[in-house]
Amino acid sequence: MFLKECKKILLSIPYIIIAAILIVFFYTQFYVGINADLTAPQPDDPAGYGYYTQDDPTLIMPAATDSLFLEFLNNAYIAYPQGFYKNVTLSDSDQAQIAEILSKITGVPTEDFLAAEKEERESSSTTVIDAGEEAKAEDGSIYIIPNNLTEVDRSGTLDISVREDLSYEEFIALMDQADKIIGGESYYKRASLASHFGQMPKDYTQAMADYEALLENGAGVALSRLFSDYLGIFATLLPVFLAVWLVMKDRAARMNELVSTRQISSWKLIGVRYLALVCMVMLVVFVLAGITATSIYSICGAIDGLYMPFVFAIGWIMPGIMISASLGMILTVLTGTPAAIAVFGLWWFLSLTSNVSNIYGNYENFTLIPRHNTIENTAYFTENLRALAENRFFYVALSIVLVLFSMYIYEAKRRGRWHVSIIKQRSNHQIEFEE
Amino acid sequence: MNCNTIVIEDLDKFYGKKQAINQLTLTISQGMFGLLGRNGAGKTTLMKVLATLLSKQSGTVSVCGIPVDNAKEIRRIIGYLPQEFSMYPSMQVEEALDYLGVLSGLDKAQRKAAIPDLLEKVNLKPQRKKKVRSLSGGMMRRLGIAQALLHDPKVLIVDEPTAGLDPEERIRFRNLLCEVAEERIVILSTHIVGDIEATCEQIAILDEGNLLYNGTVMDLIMQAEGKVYSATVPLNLAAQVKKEYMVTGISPQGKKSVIRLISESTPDIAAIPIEPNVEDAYMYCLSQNNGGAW
Repeated sequence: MFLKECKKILLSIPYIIIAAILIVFFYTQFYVGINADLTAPQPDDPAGYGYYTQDDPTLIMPAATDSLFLEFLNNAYIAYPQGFYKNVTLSDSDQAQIAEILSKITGVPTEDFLAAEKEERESSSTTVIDAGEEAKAEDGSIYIIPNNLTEVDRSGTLDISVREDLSYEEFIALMDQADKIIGGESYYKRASLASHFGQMPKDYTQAMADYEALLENGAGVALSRLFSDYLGIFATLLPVFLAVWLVMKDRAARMNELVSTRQISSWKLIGVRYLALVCMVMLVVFVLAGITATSIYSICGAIDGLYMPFVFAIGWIMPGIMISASLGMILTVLTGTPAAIAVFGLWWFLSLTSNVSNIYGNYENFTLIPRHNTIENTAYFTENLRALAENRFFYVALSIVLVLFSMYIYEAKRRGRWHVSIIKQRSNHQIEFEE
Repeated sequence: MNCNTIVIEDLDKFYGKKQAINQLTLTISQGMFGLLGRNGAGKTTLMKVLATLLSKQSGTVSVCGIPVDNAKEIRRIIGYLPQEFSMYPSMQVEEALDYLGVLSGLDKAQRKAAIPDLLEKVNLKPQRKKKVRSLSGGMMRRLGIAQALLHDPKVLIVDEPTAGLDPEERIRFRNLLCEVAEERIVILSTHIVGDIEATCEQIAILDEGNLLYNGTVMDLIMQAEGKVYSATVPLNLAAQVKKEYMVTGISPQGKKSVIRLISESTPDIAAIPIEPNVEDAYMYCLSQNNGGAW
């Protein structure tokens, strides 16, 4: 029966579409970058060697202060609630609070900041630079000029150097306050400070050192992590569609009663269908894991951990597939409608967008979609491996519970215990019952 | 315990507050058993209770000695052909049967032996490689019987199987049912009296969940003896006769109509008593339940 269910899924249009999406996503988002990720850097590369994040207060404090001051002057703050760009304009009282924070950071009186802001509003002496361009702070750190923001010609205006006696912890606390005033998910959020204001360009030596560290720490693990990060996004979402299709197919084909009166138990029927669904999605994931392993071999040779894409496929991606399929199954069995797509789709969307500022490492708080969108940040992976394991085990356990409930509900409905009747009056003498 | 009998005692079934079956007591033995009644009489509900698709509120039901609450065992011994059904349209006929055979717990060897035989029996062998979606209504019904017989059940339950079939297919289907009824209980539910007349010896008539009649077709006909008349009236009087009597047939003959009617006493119009058929007897039975009205 398992093979028959697999064949049924394999030949279905939803499965073919899902497999195609996963393959396209794999190639366009992950596979095209494998070569660059695994090839040794070359000296004098005109394209540069990328950036690295340095949690260095001497870099972050002046750059973040500069950025906050710019946004304050323009009263145009950039935030990403649920991952979406938002231009925040603050009220006068909130602006006054930001001025106070800037004052605490720089030692310049609050009134001076407010006066500068007022003057800025009334003057037109601004130098517009293209939004989205990189800007370099005086100390060499890089930050991005947010969209719709103008850089102000501040020559001869306020000295916004960070107070020498301000500790980094105090600074972070003040920035956190600013983030809260802005409404959260701004550049000044504690977790975002380093990634926004501590980015430094790598030179060849650093790039080479990182490459050697990658090989030493296990390129297989690093690539598999990235593979799981990318593929996990859609491999978690798509099975819910397949589960809804699989459960509704009997009714759509008017085969419900033929199946329900068969000897097979509901436990076996639902269990085997669920297993077939998970296995068939995993088949696509395994094929892509195989391609990843082959690529690692062709670039790096027979290094340790070539099998890692398969381990990560099971340990990282499969729990996402399981929860998607099980939620799809239980809600469809329960309601007889495709409501699961909306429910799970919303959960998936919120989980994805709420993690957008932590895509380089976030497995915590039982997030539905763990993120690690870099072959680096190995330290985070090592330190949080337990959190990742707990996260994935939680979803496996939850999936099993949901499938067991699906079996119970299916049996109850199969025996008409949750029967919903609509009395349809046909004529004065004929009353027909419909399920 | 009798292995060839379905015993129903004091069965009640409600949909919300509406009682679909009311204190039904019935015994069904081997062979063809007809279940007659109007739409909404409770026939489909009764069949679904027997097929474990609906749970009963009270009473006892046993199929070949097995209580209907023991769904797993009941499903092993019953074959069910619902009124409206289909199969996965993209599957081939043979493939669809094979899939349902797996769900019935048949191993590969059993399926390999049973499927060609059944396709032969229902005259679908030439269509075995055809997609289900390409079958005609009659072929689909025959495939329905094949799937219901796949696991060689002791009881076959068929709900309105001839609805929508052309006369030739209908006769072929009736013959097929009679053939399979030689070795099992076959319950045929229908509101088409002709199907019952041609196939069943024992019948039950249900109306609004109540059992109106349980017995042989001959006994049912005998109940209507002396109550059926034929009258030849001018065409313009036919409507008047229909208002006053229970009319079971009108056949126009030139400027006159030959009317077949049921009456407890000799009609006031010129009419001669005639032999009742099953349809007359069925209508008479229904009218008795409604205090003579229909």
